[in-house]
Amino acid sequence: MGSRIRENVKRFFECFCEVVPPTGDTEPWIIQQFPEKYKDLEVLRTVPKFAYPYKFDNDVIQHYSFVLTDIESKWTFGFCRHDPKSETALVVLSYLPWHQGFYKFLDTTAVLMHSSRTEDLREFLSAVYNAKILEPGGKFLVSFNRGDSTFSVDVPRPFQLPSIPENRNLTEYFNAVDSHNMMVIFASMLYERRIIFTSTKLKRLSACVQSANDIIYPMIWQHIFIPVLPMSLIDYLLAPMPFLIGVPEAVFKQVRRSEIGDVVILDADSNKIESPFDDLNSLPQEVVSFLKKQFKNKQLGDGVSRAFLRALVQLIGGYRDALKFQPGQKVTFDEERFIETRPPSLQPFLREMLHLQIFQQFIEERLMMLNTGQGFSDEFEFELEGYSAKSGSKLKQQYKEWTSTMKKEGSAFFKSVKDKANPAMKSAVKTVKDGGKGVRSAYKGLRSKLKDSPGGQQVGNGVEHRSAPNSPTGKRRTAPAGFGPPAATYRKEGKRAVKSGGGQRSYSPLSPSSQPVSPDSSDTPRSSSPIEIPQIDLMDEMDDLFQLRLDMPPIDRTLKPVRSLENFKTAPARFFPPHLGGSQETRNLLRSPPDDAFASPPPSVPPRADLYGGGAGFVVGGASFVVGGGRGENGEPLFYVADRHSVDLVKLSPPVCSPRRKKNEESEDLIRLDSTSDMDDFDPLKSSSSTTTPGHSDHLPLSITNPLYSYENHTPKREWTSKECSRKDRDLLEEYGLDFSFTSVPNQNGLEPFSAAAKVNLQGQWTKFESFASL
Amino acid sequence: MDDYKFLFKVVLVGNAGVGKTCLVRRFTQGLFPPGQGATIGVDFMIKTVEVGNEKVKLQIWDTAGQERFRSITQSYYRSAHALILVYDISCQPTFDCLTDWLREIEEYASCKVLRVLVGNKIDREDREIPTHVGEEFAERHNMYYLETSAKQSDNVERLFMQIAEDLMKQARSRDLPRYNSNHQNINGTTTPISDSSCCSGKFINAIVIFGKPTACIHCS
Repeated sequence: MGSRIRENVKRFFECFCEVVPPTGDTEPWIIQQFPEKYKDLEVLRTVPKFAYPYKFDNDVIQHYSFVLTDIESKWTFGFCRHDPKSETALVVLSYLPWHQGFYKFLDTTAVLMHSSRTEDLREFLSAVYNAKILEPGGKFLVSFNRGDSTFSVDVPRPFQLPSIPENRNLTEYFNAVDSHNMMVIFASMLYERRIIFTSTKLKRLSACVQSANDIIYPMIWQHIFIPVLPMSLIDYLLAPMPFLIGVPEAVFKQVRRSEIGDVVILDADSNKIESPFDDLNSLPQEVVSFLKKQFKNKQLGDGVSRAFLRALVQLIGGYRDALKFQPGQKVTFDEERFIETRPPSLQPFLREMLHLQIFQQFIEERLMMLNTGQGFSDEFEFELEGYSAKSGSKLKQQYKEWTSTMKKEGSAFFKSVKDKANPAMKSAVKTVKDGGKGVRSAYKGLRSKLKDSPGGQQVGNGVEHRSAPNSPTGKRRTAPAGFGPPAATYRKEGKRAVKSGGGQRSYSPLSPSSQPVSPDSSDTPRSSSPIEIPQIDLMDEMDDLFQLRLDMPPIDRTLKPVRSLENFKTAPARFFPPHLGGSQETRNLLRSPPDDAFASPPPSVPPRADLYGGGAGFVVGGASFVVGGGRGENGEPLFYVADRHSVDLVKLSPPVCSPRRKKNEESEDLIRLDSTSDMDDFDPLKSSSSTTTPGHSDHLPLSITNPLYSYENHTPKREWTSKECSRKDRDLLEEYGLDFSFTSVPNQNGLEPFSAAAKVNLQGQWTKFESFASL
Repeated sequence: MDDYKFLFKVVLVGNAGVGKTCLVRRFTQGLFPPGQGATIGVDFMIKTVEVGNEKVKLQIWDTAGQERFRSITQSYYRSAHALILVYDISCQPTFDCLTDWLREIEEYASCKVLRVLVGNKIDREDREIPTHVGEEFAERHNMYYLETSAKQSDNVERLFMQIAEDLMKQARSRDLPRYNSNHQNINGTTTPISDSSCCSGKFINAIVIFGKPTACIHCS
């Protein structure tokens, strides 16, 4: 319906093409494509225009995306890679808006193009083409290079908001455009203006346009949408209907402003907006001031997306009050009621809102969700519950009654509605990487677990935190780091559960699990054994909170290979036994792609050992991380290493060479953990923060403090100074190149540094992240 | 590209399959190759006509995937000069949908957008909507009415010429945008200079055609 992203996509990509640039009078053209059977000539005719939207000099590696709209008005995404070292541009077409995944895909193909084995590329393309797309939240894994390498992409979860810096598009937009101008664009989109973005950089241009659309979630831009406009299609700027078009600077120069009429123009390079309208000030002022307040604390993570989402909740969340439930009939929406039930200050705007295509589509979609029995089940509805908890539960009750009546009348109703309706929206914000709050709360929970366990007091010392997880359970109700039971923390950190009153969080409101859970019940029983607790609790917490595989069979940890440590060393080449297939050259070339964490074969399994004693810290990085550590019976160093599925105990043999040298070796591998080549070309915070922490950088490899996540070091630093981290433990950890004062948190997994964890401020109805204010 | 004195934008609206694209193709006589409808989701065609010795350029916009809209909201056509609402005289549902399409348009009855109701496919024998029903409907909603056959070219020319004449009359007498022939536009021709205001908000004027591009057996 409203969604313009295709449902039930079967393949990762539809077509891969290599495009030759224009020379003289020749137009750009496709020199080769895969698969050859892809025959949409209209699309193939158009792709070269988008790959070279104008004649430009290629001086940096550049990724950008473009969008083709078919006659059903569904989008096909084109991802493009320009490399100054290459004569051609690489383009991949897909129905999936997984920007990060496709840029990585293009990087891999670019590497394989230079492989000495010419079959490598084709084999890779064919393997990926034929691979099945997994469920959201999983990993799309394809092995290639004769099984020696693995291409992996996180399958985005539905309803996840784009966050910074994981989402490249939003990060780029956030860096290029200040919050005020983001708000102006947001407002102009709500008024369905004709909007032009312009930039000299295609990457920035497409990222900003894509993000501007992501930000109006749960609404979806219904009009002309062209993230990068080729010169040859310049006349589209004359379209009388609303549009959102990214116009490369060079193309924009050819346009006479007077021809276009009234448009909003955002120059993403200079962060300037020209607009004949006063859209921001025409929004209800309480919403504007709310947004401004939200932006005062520059929010990373999904803060930006959530700020806009909450603004929309304030504006249109009241749609719920205008729903009409009548047994035996479809749920309907009463426009008049919608206006009347709103505060007078909102009414004038909402009256106008009714005439917006995006709003009408939004309502259609909500009704469709309800009438097909999906209930109130996305991020928007969740926020809405936080906003108006009371009406939410009443409404749910109404809906429950309605659905049960409908069910009595036969499931045929839902089915018939479903058949007619085009399931939508789920994929609205798919451009988001995997991960999320669950991990963060798991992480926090883990910490308090360690602290709470009698044997883990030393551990607690290493992770001192102002939220004082040791406080009595009654207090924990308001403690941000307190963790609720899995039902409450599913994808949401504890504080959110607090805010929404009793931790109600549900994506399937009709299920019993959606009942509010008392925070008190979050206390998992403590065992009397000081040794057992951390292990068992860690396992359970990780399993539950990560929410990855609820149906996962119990892990036999005695048999399970420890595959965690090599995740710190994601250089596959290191593990390639020379006799295995795959050309050495290719292997070397493939060393850099980052997400091979799970791909490399595990090294020999260190024997398990019982853990005694404390001392600890957390190294977090990549797919798995150290969650605790200490010394074993014989004094050998031990680490708890957790990945998404398990927590393992790892015993390290004492370093052979001097700690210093050993550290360097380890750190070489650590480099690959975070400093992914994939992301090298963007640094969301380059303007605002240094890449290393003064005072430590002298003896630490740069790699550990990945510039990408450098902001993480700001707040954590306060709490991770040597004062608090026991000297002894630090030394031990440093011996292994694991310096916890430089903990770099894997943002891909949605983790936030717990020290920077949100301080809950029940200001109005919203939770504020204050700890990022220092940025 | 030739010079022109006026540029008008026309938007087509109507259910899928009523022949919107065929109407435009017929009018432009295929002089202008099909555009980017299948890759941009919107197609437009341009034809320059002469009205009273003045050259008038008509830009006719045809949007794909309109059936996903329950109705067309004013934001969709507020920059258009004219709106052509098309139904198929041999298909009752396409006529019944007109109320839906118009629901929004109605609220802005004072808007200066020129509105024309077109019953297409009069060449068909299985007519379901008598002419007078269409006429009455148009009258009730303050629209022009015309029946056409894109297949046989009946009234197609007349439809667009009528629109061009009317818009020009409006432009001369009122505040429709004037086009200064000295201005080079994107196509190397002349361009609009100012926007007129419409209803309560600020609007630009233009003409738009709605609908999903469909293969029209009828007029091929």
